[in-house]
Amino acid sequence: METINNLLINIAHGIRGFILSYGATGDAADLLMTVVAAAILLGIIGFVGLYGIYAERKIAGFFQERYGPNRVGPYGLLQSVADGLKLIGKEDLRPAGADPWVFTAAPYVVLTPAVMVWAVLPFSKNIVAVDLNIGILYVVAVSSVTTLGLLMAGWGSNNKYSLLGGMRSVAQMISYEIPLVFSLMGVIMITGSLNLSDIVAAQERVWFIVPQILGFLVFVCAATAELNRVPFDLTEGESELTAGTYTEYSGMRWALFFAAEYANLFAVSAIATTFFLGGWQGPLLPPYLWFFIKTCGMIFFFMWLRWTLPRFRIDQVLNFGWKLLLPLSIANIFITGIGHYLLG
Amino acid sequence: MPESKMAQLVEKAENSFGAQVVEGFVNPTLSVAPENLVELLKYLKDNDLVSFNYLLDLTAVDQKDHFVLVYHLRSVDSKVSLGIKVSVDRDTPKVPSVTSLWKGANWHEREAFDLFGIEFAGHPNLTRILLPEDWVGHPLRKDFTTSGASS
Amino acid sequence: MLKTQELTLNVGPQHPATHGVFRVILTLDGENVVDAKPVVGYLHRGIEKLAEGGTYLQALPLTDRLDYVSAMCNNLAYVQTVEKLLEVEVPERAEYIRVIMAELSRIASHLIFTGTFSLDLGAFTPLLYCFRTRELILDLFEAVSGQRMTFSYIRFGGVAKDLPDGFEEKCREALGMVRKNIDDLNTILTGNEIFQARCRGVGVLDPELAVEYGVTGPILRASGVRYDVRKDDPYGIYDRFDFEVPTGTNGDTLDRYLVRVAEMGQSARIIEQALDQLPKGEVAAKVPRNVKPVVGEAYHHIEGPRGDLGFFVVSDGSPKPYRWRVRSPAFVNISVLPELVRGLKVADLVAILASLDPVLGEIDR
Repeated sequence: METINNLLINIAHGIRGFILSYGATGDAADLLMTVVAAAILLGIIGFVGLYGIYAERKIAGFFQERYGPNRVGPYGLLQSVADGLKLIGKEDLRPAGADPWVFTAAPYVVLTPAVMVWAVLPFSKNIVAVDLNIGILYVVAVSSVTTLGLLMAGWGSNNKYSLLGGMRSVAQMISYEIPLVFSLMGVIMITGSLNLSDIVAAQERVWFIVPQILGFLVFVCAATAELNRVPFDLTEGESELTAGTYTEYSGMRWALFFAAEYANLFAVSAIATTFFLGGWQGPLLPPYLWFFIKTCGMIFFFMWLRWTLPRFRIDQVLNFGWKLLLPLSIANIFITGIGHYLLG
Repeated sequence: MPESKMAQLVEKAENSFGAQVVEGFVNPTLSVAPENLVELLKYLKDNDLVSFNYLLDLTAVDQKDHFVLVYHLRSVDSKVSLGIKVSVDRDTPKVPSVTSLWKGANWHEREAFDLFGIEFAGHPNLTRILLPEDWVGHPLRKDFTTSGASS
Repeated sequence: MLKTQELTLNVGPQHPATHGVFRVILTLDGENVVDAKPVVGYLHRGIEKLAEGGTYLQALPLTDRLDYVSAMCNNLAYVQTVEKLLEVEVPERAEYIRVIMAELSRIASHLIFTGTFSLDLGAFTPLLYCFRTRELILDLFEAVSGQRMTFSYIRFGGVAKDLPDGFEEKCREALGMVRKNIDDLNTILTGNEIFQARCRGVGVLDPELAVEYGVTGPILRASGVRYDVRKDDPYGIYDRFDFEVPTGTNGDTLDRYLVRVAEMGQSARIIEQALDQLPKGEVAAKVPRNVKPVVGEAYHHIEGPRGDLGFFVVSDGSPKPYRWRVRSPAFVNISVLPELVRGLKVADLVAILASLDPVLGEIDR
């Protein structure tokens, strides 16, 4: 049991030992290990991007009483790979009127923060690329850069639909960033730490979803909005704005947006798991598996929402954020504070 | 008693607006001169007997030597229909617009203008509706052949 | 110095929410619609002119291409118009089959409406539920006419062929699915908070304005005006069936949706009654292939899925119609769009446009 639980850690130790055997010093080996971890994370992100889309389509098929992709490979497993290859092979189109720099840079500005968030995710006990002691602050700070990328895409495309989409994304992100952060405050107040590993460790007896149910609900709503997923997918809003921000993007640039969307989806689900669902804690199964199962559960929930709900209108989105989620998240902080004072 | 009221209405239309009862697509159908058209329709719409509040259809027929404009009125409350026919000169087809009575006449009149070239005096925006702006000719005229443009 | 500027946005003719090649020129102040100018005609095929070039029967397939999601109703309206000129007696069985087809067509059309309406509001799944059920109705149409969209099944004097074996059971089965589908819609869509928030009070059409524009069909009834040609000017054998005309009270987008959903249930009721009463016998009167009506003119209207669908045919005694006119309900209904969207948001435009249920084949003709 112990071997399985520490399997990944032992592999990491093995790689480190391998590097050391080539005469590297301890510091150099640590540096190289960070590079190895980054490479592994990028690999996982690529995998999540491809199979996130596959899962989305299969789940959509399940809800809609149809099969979903089932032609390329067994059970259509290679569908996303084929799609990815097709997107790589596509012509690199840039509209004549677009701002060349802004238009080209936008997908990277969206994808980079999505990848950076992964650095602090605690996949298991002692498995985390960078164990920052201000982990959650880092996550929130980095992920808000995404808005900038979407605004750049909207503005740089020189298309009215894109511009409207970009503006919507800014309005929406500003409104939901605050309740998102506030909803996490309760957990931070209880644990007294911003470190994600500490937060998981603090949930050994009871998951924070129990004392922080209000915080969890606010977090899920705000996170859906941050992810630009239904019912908050106004940025893309395909029936209104054709494809919103993404209207002028095609080929690999468009694929980068999609990779970012699914990387973000996984990251947000992972944060929800870490903060409210006990992270990698769980009986019997190895901790990294528990983490994975819980995160997939959250992803399934987000996909479930997407294939069930209609879309909000922009004013309703903003009302919901400012007039409902924000007061609720503040109320949650007060309740947590009082409870903490009385019990702790 | 819609029948008797209808009879009264038709009588009034004949006496005051110079309308005539003619053979037509609904019973009764009235024929009226273009200059009396708007007054007659206004009366039919606003009278107390049978209020024809509904302009169901407005179209034209090319009778080779003249156009016949066809107005189809309907009374939603009394459940009766009334046809109005107006003959206009084919060379300079011009009738007063009824958009002041029914906003729905707007598009019907634009369509008749587009496809027949009938001008509706007083229409707020008499432009082509189904055909492109730069189209030449009016296809539903009988001398417009599908193989070529109107003569 | 900051200044604001109005934005002109061309929605369509190629746009996911315009249900075809419809175009709206929007003037926007941020997300708010200042003005909307509908532009139609992109699908104009000159059907009225084409019909004048052929015989009466040759004009029948053209009617399939008007409102292509409910071609049976178009067939029925046109055929009954010509029958008025011909003065033929239609056999009983044919009348019943016509009613069944027209009402199935209405259900199929409303299913497309509810599906695309929810899609335009951002919910994808109900669309597929509706299309799944519509598929069963299309199977029925295919069984009777060999076609899925363009039937030309209803002919002068009756219908083209008798119903195939096993039609009745399949039809009842399909109606069961329709009822289940209505329940599904009520579960997944109608009661949904977001759906209600998007529709309630949006795009309110006053009954006075609706009448002034000549709006008909479910849109008019959603505004509270009980005008249904099946009841007010009965045609065929509609006076033999027991059904209700659902109306709304607010005239908003939600009511337009609810009225159509209720109409599906009523249509199912009519079909069930027709199946119960379906007599045996001939399905077509003897009518020559090349009909030559007497000199005269006829106007006939039916209650199509989109409203008062009328045909105006002028005959000069020759085998070709002299004038062939469609009173297209969608054409009239769509002209009210600018009145509804002013001052609302872009997203509301999409919802309202979808609730007007335009079919461009019929608008542009």
